[in-house]
Amino acid sequence: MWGTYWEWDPRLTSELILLFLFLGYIFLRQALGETRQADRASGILAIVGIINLPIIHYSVEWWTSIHQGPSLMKLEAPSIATDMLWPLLVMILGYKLLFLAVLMSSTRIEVLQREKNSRWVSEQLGAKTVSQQGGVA
Amino acid sequence: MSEFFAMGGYAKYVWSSYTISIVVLVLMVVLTKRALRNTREQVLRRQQSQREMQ
Repeated sequence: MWGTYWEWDPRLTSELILLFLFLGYIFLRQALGETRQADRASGILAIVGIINLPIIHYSVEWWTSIHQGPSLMKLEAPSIATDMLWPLLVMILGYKLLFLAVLMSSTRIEVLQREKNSRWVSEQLGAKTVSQQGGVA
Repeated sequence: MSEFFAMGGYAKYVWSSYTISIVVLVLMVVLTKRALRNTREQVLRRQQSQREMQ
């Protein structure tokens, strides 16, 4: 229990910067109308933003933080009670898998929209409808 | 039972976290599925109208 909503704590501040990076990414993409230009600009922002990840991870080691030191991502045994560790790991796995599934669906949407004029898309979708219609008839 | 739901006085925080997480997760999945279906239909319609023009 930290006993506070907000503090200019290293972990909280670096996570706030991450939030701003995400917001900046979203708004940068929307602000640039042309797709190629938006791709390039937001891609660069994403790559530069990766610098923040190790800062978040090590923020609890480099500076004094109200956050505890690492509980999982360290070389020694996890410093968390076993009956909390297993649910946590299962939930982390579940969230990652769900994220992966949603990411793949979003990628399919993006690819379909960008390649809507190419032959393989019409072949893929066209073949599907023919077989579907064949099934109905 | 009511002791469990009270969460040691932190019920407000615990259950609001659960509620927000469930709403966001369900919305994320439903909206993505719908968007994929709509995009498919859109592209398909477009191609069919192009084929008819030819």
